[in-house]
Amino acid sequence: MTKKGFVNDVNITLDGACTMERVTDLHAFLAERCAALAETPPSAVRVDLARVPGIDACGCQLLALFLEQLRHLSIGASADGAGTEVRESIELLGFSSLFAGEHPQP
Amino acid sequence: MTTAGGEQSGVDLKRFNEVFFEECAENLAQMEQILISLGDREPDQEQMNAIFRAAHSIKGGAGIFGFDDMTVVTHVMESLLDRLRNHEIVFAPGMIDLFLEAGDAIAMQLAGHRDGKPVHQEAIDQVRARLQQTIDGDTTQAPASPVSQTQTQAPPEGGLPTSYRLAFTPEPEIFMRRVRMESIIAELADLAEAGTFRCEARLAELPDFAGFDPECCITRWEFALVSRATRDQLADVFMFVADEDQLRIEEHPAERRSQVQDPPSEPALPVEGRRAYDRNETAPGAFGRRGGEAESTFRVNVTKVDQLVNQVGELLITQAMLSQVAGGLDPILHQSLQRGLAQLERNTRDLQASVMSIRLVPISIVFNRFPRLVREIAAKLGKQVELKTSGDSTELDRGLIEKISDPLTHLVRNALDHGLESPEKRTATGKNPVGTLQLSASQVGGRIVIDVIDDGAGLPREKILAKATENGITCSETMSDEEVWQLIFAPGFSTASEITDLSGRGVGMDVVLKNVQAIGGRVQIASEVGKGVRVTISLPLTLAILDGLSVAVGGEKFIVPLNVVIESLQPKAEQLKTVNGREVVQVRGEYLPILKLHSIFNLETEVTEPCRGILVLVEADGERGAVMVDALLDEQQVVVKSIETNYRRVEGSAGATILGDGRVALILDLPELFSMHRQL
Repeated sequence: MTKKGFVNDVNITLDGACTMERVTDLHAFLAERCAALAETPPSAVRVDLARVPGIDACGCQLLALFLEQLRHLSIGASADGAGTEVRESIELLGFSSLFAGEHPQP
Repeated sequence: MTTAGGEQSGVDLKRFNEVFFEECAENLAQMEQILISLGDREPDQEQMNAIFRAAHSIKGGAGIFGFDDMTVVTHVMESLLDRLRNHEIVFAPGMIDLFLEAGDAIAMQLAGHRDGKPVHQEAIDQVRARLQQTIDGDTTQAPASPVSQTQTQAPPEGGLPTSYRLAFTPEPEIFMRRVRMESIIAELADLAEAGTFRCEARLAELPDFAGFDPECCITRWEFALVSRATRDQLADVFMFVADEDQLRIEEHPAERRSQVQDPPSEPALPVEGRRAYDRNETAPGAFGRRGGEAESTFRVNVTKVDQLVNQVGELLITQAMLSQVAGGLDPILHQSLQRGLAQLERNTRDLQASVMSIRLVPISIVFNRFPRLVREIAAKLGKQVELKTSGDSTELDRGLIEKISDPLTHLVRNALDHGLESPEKRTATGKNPVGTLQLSASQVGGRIVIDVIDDGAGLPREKILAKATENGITCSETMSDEEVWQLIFAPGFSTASEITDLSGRGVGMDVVLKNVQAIGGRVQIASEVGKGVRVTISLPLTLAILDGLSVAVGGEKFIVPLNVVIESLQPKAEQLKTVNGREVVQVRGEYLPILKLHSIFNLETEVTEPCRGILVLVEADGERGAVMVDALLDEQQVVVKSIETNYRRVEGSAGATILGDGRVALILDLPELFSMHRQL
C-alpha cells in the first residue's frame, strides 16, 4: 500500500493496489482494523474499493479472509465500490460472492 | 517488491521459471520439427493441432509466469493456426516459413529472459505484423466465419460441447511463486463456450487473521464450463501450476447443457491433472513427453548429476587407494579383505558406468537442428537437398553434445555450399538432381563416430594442391589422397572461388579440427571424385573420464591422454640431434622436438638426457612431438578434476586426477605444452 486510510471502522477505504507486492502492508493494516473491530463489533462493515487501481488473487484472498473474519464476529461485512477493471478481476478470480457476503454456489 | 522474474523474492522463482523455459524450448523444438517435416505440404489435422498446442502452451506459460512479451507473437500465431485449422484461411507454403520465423522470434524472447541475450524488438514486431497481415489478408477472401470471435479463441476439436467441473487446490506457495491466477483462469475461460464459464473461489480454512501469512494461499477454486476442448486441453491450462492431486476434472460428455450450474447426475471419476495427456502419447500437448516418458522419467538439475558424477569419481579414487594399500598385504592372511575389495571394485565400476550413463543424451538433440538449416541454405543456394539422418538415438556425453554442434554445423554448411552441385550440374552428370546429405552416428567401441556424407562432386585434389602451394604449405604431387585431404585443415585454407555468407572464408576446417580435438576427438576425410565426401568425427564417450597413460618424472606422476599418444621409444644416441639449438629426435625420417617435462615443470630428476629416459611420441592439433619421461607406469582410466576449481590454473595441464595412492597427477595439455616448449 502506498497509502492507507479509513473514514471510520465501519467504512474502511483502501487506497492502492491490492496485490501480492503489497499484501504484507495490507495485511498489517487490516489486522489492526480487525483487532479494533473485535473489541467493539459494529453490526456492519463496508470495505470501499473505489480507490483500488488493481487487484490480484493474493489481494482478493486477503480481503476475503478479512471479511470472513468479521462475519465470524457476527459483523455483516462486504466489499464494493470497485472500478470496472478491479470488478472484472474480482469476478474473473471468483471472489464476487465472498466479497458480497453470499454463500458461493459454483 | 519483485518483478515477474522474481529476483528478490523469498522463494527461488528462478527454479520455477526454469521449468517454463525448458517447456517452452521443448515446445519450440517440437513445433519446428513438425514444420520442417512438412516441407511445403499442408499439415494434417493432427500436425496442425500439435503446432497449435505448442503455441498455446507457450502463450499460457508465458502469461502465467509474467513474460507477457512472449504472449504477443504466440497469440497472433495461435489465431492464424486456429483459422487454418477451421479452414477459414487457405494454406499457403509460405506460411511454413512464417511460422518458423515466428518460432525464431519467440526463441529470441526466450533467450532474452533466460540468458539475458539481446532481443530485437523490431524483428519481433515484423513477424507479428506479417502474421496479422496473413490473417487479415486472407480473412477477406475466406468464407464468412460461421463462428463468433469467442468461439474462435477456443481450440475446437470438432466434438460436441462437453460440460466440465474443475476443482483446483493450489499449493500454499503459489502466490510466492508469482503465478498469476488471473492468467490461468482467463485461459480457462477462453476455452469455454460463450456465457458458460463460472468461477468460484472458496477459502479452505479460516485462520486467525493477525497470525496469517498473507502470501500463503488457502483458496480453492471451482470452475464450471461448457467447452469443445478435451479434458487434456483443460488440464494443460494448469500444466505449470498443478500436480496430479491438485486438479480434479469431472467430465459430462452428454449433450450441451443449457445451465452449467446443474448438478452432475453421475460424477465421473476424477482424472489426473496436468499429466493427464501423458496417457495418450500422440495427443497434442504430449510433446517432450512422448514414448511414455512421463511415466519413467523426471527432470534433474544438471548440477546434481555433475555432483553425482564427481562423488562417484571420489569413490573410485578411494577404492583405488584401498586396492593399493591391500596390494601390500599378505594375500593369504587377508584373503577375505582381498575378496571384499575385489567385489568393491566391481561394484564401484558398475556404479560408475550407471552414473556416467545419466550424462548421456541422444545426438538427435544436435541432429534435429539440421533439417531447418539444410532447408534454408539449400533454398538460398538454389539446390535441392534431401537430408537423411541415422543413429539419432546414439548417446554421448552432454558436455560433448554442446561442443560438437558448431563443428557439425560447419561441416553441413560446407557440404551444402561446396560439396553438393546445383540440380543442373547434377543432371548433366547423370545424377539425381536432388543431392543427399547424410548425418549418421554410431558407437564404435569406446568412441562415438559421426559421419557427414554428401553425394556431391568430391574434393578437388589438384585445386587443393595448387592452393596449398600458393599458401606456402609444404606439399607434393606424390602425396596420398589422405594426406592431400588433410591440407584443408590448415589455417586459412580455402579453395572456394568466391566467399559466400555460408562458407568459403577459409576459416572453417581448421576450426572444426581444433574444436573436435579439444574434446579428444579426431577428424578423418574420405573423398571420391564425382561420388562425394565423407567426413568422420570420432569422439570419446565422455569428458569426465579419460583414458590415460601415467608416466613418472622425478617424484611426480603425469597423465598423458591416450588419444594423443602415437608410440613410446627409448632413443638411441644417433637418433638425437640438435636443430637451431633445440633437441630433436629423428623417427622414421621425421625430426620431432623433445619436450622435457622436468624442464617445463621445473622438477628435480636424475633422468635429464633423452637416451636415459623414454620418449612418448604424441600428436595434437596436427603437431607432433616427443615427451620425455623417466618411466611409463600404467595405462588407466582417470577421473578428470578441474585443477582451477580446486587449486589454480597450471600451465601445460588440462586438469588433474587423484591416483590410487592419493597423490594428484596433472593431465597434460599437449597443444599448450608445444606452445610452452616453443617459448623456452
